[in-house]
Amino acid sequence: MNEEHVKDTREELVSAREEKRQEIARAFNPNRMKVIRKELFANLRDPAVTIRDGNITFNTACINGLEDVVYVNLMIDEELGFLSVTGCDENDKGAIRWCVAKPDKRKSRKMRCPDFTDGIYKLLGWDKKCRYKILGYQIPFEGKVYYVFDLNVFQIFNEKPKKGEEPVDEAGEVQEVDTRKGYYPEDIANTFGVPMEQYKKETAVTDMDGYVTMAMFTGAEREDS
Amino acid sequence: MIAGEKTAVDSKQKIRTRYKGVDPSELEVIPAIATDEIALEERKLKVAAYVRVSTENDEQTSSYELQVNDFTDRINANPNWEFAGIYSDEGISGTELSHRKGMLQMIEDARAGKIDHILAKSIARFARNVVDCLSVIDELKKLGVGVHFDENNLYTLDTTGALVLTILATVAEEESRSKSFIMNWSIERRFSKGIFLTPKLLGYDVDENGELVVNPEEAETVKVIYDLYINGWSTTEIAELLTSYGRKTKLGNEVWNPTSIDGVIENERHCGDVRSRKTYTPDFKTHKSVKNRQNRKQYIQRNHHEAIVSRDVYNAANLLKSSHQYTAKSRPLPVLSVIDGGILTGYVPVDKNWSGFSTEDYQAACESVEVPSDDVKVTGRRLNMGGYQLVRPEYFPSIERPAMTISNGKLRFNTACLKKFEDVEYVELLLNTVKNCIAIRPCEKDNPNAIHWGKLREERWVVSTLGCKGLSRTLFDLMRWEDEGQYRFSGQYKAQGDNKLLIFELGEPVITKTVEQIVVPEQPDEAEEEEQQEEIVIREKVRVFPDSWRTSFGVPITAIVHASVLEQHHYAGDWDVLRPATELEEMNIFTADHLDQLMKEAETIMEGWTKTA
Repeated sequence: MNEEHVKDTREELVSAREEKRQEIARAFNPNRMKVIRKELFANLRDPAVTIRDGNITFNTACINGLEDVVYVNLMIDEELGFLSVTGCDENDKGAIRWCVAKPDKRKSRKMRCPDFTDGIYKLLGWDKKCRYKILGYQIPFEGKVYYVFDLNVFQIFNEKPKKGEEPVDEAGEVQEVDTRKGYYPEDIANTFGVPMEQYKKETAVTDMDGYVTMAMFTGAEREDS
Repeated sequence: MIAGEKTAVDSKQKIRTRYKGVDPSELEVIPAIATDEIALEERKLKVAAYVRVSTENDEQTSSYELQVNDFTDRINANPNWEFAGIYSDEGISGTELSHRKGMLQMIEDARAGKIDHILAKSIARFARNVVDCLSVIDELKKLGVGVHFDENNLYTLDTTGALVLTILATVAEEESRSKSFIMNWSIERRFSKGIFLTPKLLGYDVDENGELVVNPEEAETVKVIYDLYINGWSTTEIAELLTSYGRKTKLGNEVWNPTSIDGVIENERHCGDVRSRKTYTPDFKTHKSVKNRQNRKQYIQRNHHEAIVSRDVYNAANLLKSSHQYTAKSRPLPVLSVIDGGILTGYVPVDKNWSGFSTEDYQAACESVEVPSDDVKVTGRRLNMGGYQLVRPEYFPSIERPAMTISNGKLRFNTACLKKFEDVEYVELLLNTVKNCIAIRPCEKDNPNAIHWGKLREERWVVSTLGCKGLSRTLFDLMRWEDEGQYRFSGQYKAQGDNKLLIFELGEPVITKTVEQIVVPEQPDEAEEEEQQEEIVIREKVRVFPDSWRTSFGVPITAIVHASVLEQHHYAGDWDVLRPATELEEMNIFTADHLDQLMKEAETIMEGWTKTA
């Protein structure tokens, strides 16, 4: 009896689970789902660029993503706020060295460019006391690899204040600035991502008059663009 | 009388008594030594005379002799006088003291006590310059030497003399000024009527009518000088050559020096023209003549007389001469040429020192060849990067990137340029006025345009700063640059096999210049308002970026690549970087062939000469 009882219970359980599954399946509507932003997950090993007032740095993950590339072309779409990078020849027009190249390995490099970052901060209305980290999307296309960074989706970090510019509290005490903790702007922090339908639409790689748009890969094409 | 009044009367009496003085017999007198007064002097005076005539012509010579004799007789006739000599300046103007050896010697002797008294005919003979005249007389006066001017019966040691002297000296100076004016007016009139002064000139004789006629023997020398100079001989080399052949200068000397060669090349009369007033004398007192850089009116008469060299040859030689930096290296007259094939099609080789070609010349040369347009075939899918700009590499400073700097007539390439070319010490610079680009390609040391841009020292490239007056003039004109400062251009290195090439786009230089700011420091509160703080001038180096940098991060990708994918297009044809340029016959007065002909002419003439040394 005991055995029967166990068997019954198991069957009941299975049927209950099946019922639940069917219930969920019935309720599941991909169009109601959102694709969670990868920015919301730990992203230490993801390709990223950090922009500071005065210099920009591509992280090691980014550099490793473009095999053997030492010189890059940096491209910017001011309207969309996209930064893109791709490998090029040392002597190509616009070639910039993005890493420290040693015989055995390539290392991340702080690229000094005060006049460039000046323009970026102005373009995006950023705060010069902060640094901005942007995750990159790798796009292989016709044998060439591109990284695209959507400068509108960033993680913001406080920079160590300069001497004499440290913030003070009401009592006049110098406050510690946490330079390690990153924040997202509200519109990113308060949502999980974009609805599935929009994501699908945006990421469908289609040929339009023979052109493939970069935004299709990143899922961030603006509606007005 | 009250007591007070009595005291006052006593005091007055005392003063009166004191001022009556003592009995003169009680005083001993030590007489003062009387100043030199000609009439009172008892000892024999050492008397000299000063004589000056301004020109050396015969009439004046007689005047001079008369003056000398007259003074000698007068001094000898006076028993109280001792003859101390006649000091004279013949053929020398009275307006400047420094040339007058006689006068200077006289002053020297007066200082040495050899002269007590000087006789002169008139103030005008003595000096025509108020300041000089008065200062000499003053100095003589301090030495106790008086000057007697016969004309006005004026004696400088008289008390009344000084004022009269000043007036008369002023008159003398004024007289000289008016004479100078009259002379200038006369010269001006002569020139304006085409009556030129024709001083002696190598290659010509002056006939009885004052006309220049060619002297065939001398004309040979003139021709050889021009021919060799245009072919890149230095004036020193030509002078040595003429000396070795014993050729005579106009003055009959057989020794030539570079300056006399310069003189021959510069003289427009060799090509048949006459230009008046090449020099003028700005100050009638100093007599220094200076070059007339349109300070005075000049007159030129073309084809005034028979030419020895053609006007083209004359102009070419003087063009060459005006480019000192260029001629310093003994190079022949440059020839305008253009590259008509390969990756550098349309580029014009430029000598950085040569300023003889105008910007328009370079433009015409560059535009004289047609640059085939590059057709790029686009196939398959393309990544649309239409909205993207290629970020300027200049935002990312790097010592690895080739750069060229032009400032203040100087040219400099950074070591990155030299490293890119690896083992190239000499390069040629080419200009494209259509693309507004400068190209740099390797060349041989003996290329006339060769730029020695640096050298290897202990396995490291050391760059040189080079003069580039001609190039910089052309670029400033072509690009309409106005700012002073350092113009820096990023270079693009291109290589394909042995073909090496650097391209510098001239359109977007980064200009570094020094700006001065005048700052008045803030006054501290306690400072008085009247106390003006000193202004401080702050010099600061600023970098000026091109205007376009303010509005964009770079050039649109579509402007760089034809297909909208960032695959940089490289020149598809045969690069042929070292392709020699083709001479533009129609644009050059002298092609290499013409220069050869001139050289042959010189050689033929010299065959008839015999070496003397």
